[in-house]
Formats: sequence, C-alpha cells, structure tokens
Amino acid sequence: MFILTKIADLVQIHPQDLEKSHAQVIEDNINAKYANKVIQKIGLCICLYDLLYASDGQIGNGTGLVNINVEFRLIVFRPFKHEVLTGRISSSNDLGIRIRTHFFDEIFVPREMLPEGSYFSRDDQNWIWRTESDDLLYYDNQETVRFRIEEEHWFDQTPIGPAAREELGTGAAPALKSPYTLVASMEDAGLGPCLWWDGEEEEEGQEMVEE
Amino acid sequence: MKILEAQSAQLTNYEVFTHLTELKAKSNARKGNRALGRAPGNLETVVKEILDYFYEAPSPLGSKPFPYDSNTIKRLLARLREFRLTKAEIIMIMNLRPTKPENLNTIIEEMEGRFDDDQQMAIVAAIAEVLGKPDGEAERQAMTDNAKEARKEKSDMELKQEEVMDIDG
Repeated sequence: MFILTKIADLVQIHPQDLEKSHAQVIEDNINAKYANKVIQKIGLCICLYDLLYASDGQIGNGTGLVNINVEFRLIVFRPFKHEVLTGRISSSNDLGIRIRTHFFDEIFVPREMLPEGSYFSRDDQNWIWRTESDDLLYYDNQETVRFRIEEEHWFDQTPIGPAAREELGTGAAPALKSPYTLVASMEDAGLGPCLWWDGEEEEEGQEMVEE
Repeated sequence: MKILEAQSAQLTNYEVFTHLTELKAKSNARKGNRALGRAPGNLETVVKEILDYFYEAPSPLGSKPFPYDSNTIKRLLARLREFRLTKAEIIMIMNLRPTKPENLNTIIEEMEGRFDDDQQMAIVAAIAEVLGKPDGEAERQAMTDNAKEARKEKSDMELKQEEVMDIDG
C-alpha cells in the first residue's frame, strides 16, 4: 500500500526561518511541498521518511535565501496491482460503485467487476447481488468493503496554454480530472462488504454450542 | 525536483503507522513554540486522515491488544517461510491479518492449487499465532456503527441544506 520514493530537490530557506534548526526547516519545506499531493506515475505523497543528503547552504545573489540541495525519501501511497485493501462505499450509480478511504477518494468498481448476478436497484440507489441460492445481498452506502486493485489511471493536470488549446479545437478549458484514480474489483469470494464474510464462523460456533 | 528512484522499498502499514505517530507527537510538541510555529497544514491533514484510516475497523492497527511490535515481521516471516509466499502476499498478510481461509483466498493467488485444506489451516493458524485474532464481534459492531453514523451525518447535512434553502426562499 505504501512505498518509499527517492527524490532530489532544491530547498530554499527564507531568512525568517533561520531561527529553527536546519533539519527542521528542510523537513517542513519538503512536507509543505509534497504532503498530500500526487506526483504523476509515482503516487500520492504522504510525508518525508528520511533525509539522505544535504549540501552546504549557499546564499543567492540579491535574495537572502539559503539554497540547499537535498536527497530524501518520501512515503507514498501507491497500492500495487492485485493488492487487497479496505474502504467504504461512498456512492453508487448504474455504472458501478465508488469507494473512498479517509485519505483517498478516487476508487471505482465498474459494474463488470461486481459478482455475476449483481444489479443496480433504482429504488434503493444501490447495488444488490442476487446469489445463486436467490438471496439478496445489499451494497449499502458507507458499508466497509474489501476490494482488489486492478488498474490505475493518471491524468496530468498541467494547464494547456491558449495557443495549444486552439490547436486541439476545444474552446473552453477542459474539465480537470483527478490526477490519480484507481479501478478495483469485488468479484471474487471474500471481496465485497466485510460483514458478509467475517460473520459466518461466529454463527457456526454458536450453533455448535446450542447443540 | 528529480526522481532518483521511483520505488526504493515497500512499507507495511505498521511501519507507516509508527512513523506517523512519531511525527504527530513531534508536531504536537511544537504547539506554543513561537520560533518553530506549526507543521505545514497539508501535512497535518494527511497524517490525521491516514491515522483515522488505520484506527478504523477492520484494520488490525485499531484493534486491542495492539498486535504488532518491532519483531513481528521477523517472526511472521520465520513462521511462513515453509509456504514460500511472495513478498506482496506477506505484506498483505501483515496489513490485513486474515484469520480465515475465505479471507486468505483473496490475498493468495491460486490458493486452491497451491495449498490443500490442511496447509491453508496451517497458514491461518500461523498468522493467528503471530498477529493474534481479531475480536470479531466488536469489529463487526464497530463497522456497523461507523456506517450508521456516516449515513446519519449525511442525512443531517442534507436536512440542514434544505433548511438553509427554506430560509433563502
């Protein structure tokens, strides 16, 4: 779910920050720049993990800024393919189910990745799985679910200049998509709402006690 | 910015959890210190959100007694060595703590072909031995409560919005 990424960058320390220790300022600057942001093809950055190298500070001409070259490692959220995670259903429509975790909202389970026999109920506005034994199981909103990551999609949000936009033939700026989205599946046994799968053992145990 | 290595290591949730709790303690200690000021706002946001995620059922990090310590990974690897699981599978076992074959099935690829029933039970038993078993009843209750609460919050919010619209109208 989480990886470490090694990055080299330039940190600029403002004179008013010189009261703090250098290590602290560098850490704050890196976190301010990267935390909770997506780097294309890398993932959602969480925070600094450790600082590997820092050069001597050099003061630029004309500004009072101290320039330091640093190398460091970041904790990054980047689930691998086929990783199983938990999250909660945030909404459903006839295309599929949208899942979110506390820190990441862009997980989508398309209809073809739900178990066979699932259908979207327009009355309830959620998905229902009709099992082989004709039971109805509901994918209620806010239910905790287990899902498997299948695909990731990146969308570069770099703005396009007016000239390039005209070439593309679109007058208005295109709607911005999320920079990083995940596609997941809930097809297999054991995936889907945790309550479906985690409850059984207990019931069996109770029956045995009753006998 | 230059990416030197896109992926230099993989972390388990427990390692991220320890790092973030330390970070949080450090940034709490800064409160009231005028020279240091607060940690960056975007950092505080993401740290809180991830810790919330870790504490929420069914995450083992939120369960009591706390199932991990600094030697857990070593012990788990030693116990599971004979089954020749892949690194990805071990990481997921660490993070999710499957204690039943049905849960293990989603994590281990081609499980039916690779392990027979006895071996599956042995893996599950080994996991339970190192990481402990979740309190199933409490966990399910927590999940149900969380869902109910979130649904209520949402409907409350909708009600409020309607009220505001009434006042406006």
